[in-house]
Amino acid sequence: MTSVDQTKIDAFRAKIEQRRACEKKAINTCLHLIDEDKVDHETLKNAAILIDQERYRGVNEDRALKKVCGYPVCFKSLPNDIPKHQYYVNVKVNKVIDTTERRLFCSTLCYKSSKYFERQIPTSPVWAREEQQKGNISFKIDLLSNERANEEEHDHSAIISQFNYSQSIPKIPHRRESSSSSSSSDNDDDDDEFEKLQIARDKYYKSRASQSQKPTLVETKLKQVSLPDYIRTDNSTIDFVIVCLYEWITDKTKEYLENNMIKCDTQINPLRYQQLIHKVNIEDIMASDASRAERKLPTIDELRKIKEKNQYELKVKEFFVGKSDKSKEESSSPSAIILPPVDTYSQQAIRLSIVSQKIMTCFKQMFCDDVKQTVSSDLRSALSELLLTFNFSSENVALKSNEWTIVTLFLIHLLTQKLSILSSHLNESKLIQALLNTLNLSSDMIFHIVKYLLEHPIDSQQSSESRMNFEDID
Amino acid sequence: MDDEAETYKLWRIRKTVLQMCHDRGYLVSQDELDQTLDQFKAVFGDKPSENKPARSQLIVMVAHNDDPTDTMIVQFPDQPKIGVDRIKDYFKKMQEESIPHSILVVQTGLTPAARDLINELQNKSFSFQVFLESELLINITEHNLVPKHVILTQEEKQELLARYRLKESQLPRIQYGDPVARYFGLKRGQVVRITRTSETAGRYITYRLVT
Repeated sequence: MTSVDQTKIDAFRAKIEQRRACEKKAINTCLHLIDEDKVDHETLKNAAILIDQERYRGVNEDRALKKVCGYPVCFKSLPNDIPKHQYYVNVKVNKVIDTTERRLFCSTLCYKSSKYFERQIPTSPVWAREEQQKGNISFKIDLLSNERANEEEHDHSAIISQFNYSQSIPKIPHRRESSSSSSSSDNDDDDDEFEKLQIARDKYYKSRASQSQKPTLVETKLKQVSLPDYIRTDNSTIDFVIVCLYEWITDKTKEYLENNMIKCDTQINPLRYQQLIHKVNIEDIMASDASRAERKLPTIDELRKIKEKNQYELKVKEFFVGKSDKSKEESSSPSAIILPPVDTYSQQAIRLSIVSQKIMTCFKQMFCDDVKQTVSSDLRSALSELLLTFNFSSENVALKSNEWTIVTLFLIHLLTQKLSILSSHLNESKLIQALLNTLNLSSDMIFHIVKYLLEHPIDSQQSSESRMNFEDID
Repeated sequence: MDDEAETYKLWRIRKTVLQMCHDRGYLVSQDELDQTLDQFKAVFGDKPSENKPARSQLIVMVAHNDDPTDTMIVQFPDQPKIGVDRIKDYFKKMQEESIPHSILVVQTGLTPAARDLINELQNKSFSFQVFLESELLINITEHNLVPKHVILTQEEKQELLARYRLKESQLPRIQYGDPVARYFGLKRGQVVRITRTSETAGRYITYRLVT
């Protein structure tokens, strides 16, 4: 009995000794990292197994107190002009960033490398690691090499912000398999959510761009309609805009621009309109009251039967499924999801609202300062009236912001046919001139294009289509 | 922080340090213990921002009442944070000048490695204590909730154990890191006598073993 106790005590003592030895090793490693001005890569990698993250941060601090860069591999002394203030405001991402840690390093590169190393240090206590290593979990540590990090060095502020983000997401060291694979995946690893988001966004835009190449289809159509060369521009975006505009323009647009009034609903005679209304009314009644109006009321006996049957069914259901809250079911069932309307008119309305919103914001930016109030208000009303005459399809209302600007530019030129005061303003406005310059366009050219578009309309298929739908009702 | 407040702070800290030395049994002149703020300014200056006084000038060196070779040095480093190198320097100095006790009054703290190093280097012949400046702004033993602590000598301790027929482990304990224990610089195994007022007994004496 006592001998068993004795062995237990001995084992315990041995354990304590082992722990103490590990701690001591860790301290000595730390002191070594602090004392040496420059540690080679191998030593640092080996040290990772002997120390913990807390101690490594201490090493950074201690080295910085010695006026040496906190990253043990780096031997440079700290620059004298380190910013003293504790926080740094990144305007790009609207964040206040704590620079306490960054100040311990000579450069962002060192900071980045150090953090990269720190996150690979195992989080387990130092004395527990020997057993772990026996369990065949080996730690592979790799260091951020110069050239790899150099690529990312150019944008300091971005890196600082990225790093402060990624600090909040500590990494699990076991995840890295080999140095080769990690070097390729290095970029992803080090990226924070912000950058990932950016990449995703870029990708999305690229795909969008390829999607909007679909208008090549439209462009071929344009070729079929034999768009003369002088209308084509070398800029594909502008071409795309032209195509969109081309599709939008309808007979009504032309009429609107030529006459002063919009003749709306001219094609529909009042008699036909009455007919349609009548028909819709009847359909409404049919839909809502069909069951009640046309079926006879059931007799009391029938009702009772139905009720009994229902109750029986309920009982069976309860037996299988368990009691359900009936009141809950009842309350939930009537609140069915309201689906958005999908008929042509509401679609047109939705598209119109999208387009007008975009156009109006662009318009406001273009005419923000240097226009007389009267002109701009005139123009605005004219623009909204013009938009009403357009015909939109699902494909040609999704434009990028720069495309919207170009569209607005075209529309304004289109409107000069109606409002002659505008043309003088167009020549005066510096903003518009600058825009035209950057786009390699001139007012004359736009006039030319617009004129062509008006004179050679796409055979008004879409408008007839809409009329077809209208006719479908009866 | 403006100079006035800083000077006041330094005066308070130094005063507490001197009281602490006195309470530990080191020889501190009464003049120094009673030093007012004005006298302090006259001696050291009143512009800490221009290094008058620099913290390092506040250094205190005292010898024990009974044993003149038992000296203690109290140092005030200028740097807010103390790293391994400084600690090494201090220990070197202690060894060269054979000063067995040392107190360091730091502004914000030590680095983790420095703390480890102190634990490593401390042994029977050298003791090294670290205080934060903010801990020394007031003398905690003067607080009315802190009872009177008296350190027992080795003989007194043996007498106590014999008187009550106790083993050492049967005494109540006080932690090594207890603020009062740190104030008196207690070591493990020492015993303090605590005398406190009691509503029922008038005066109540208890003992604590430092663990």
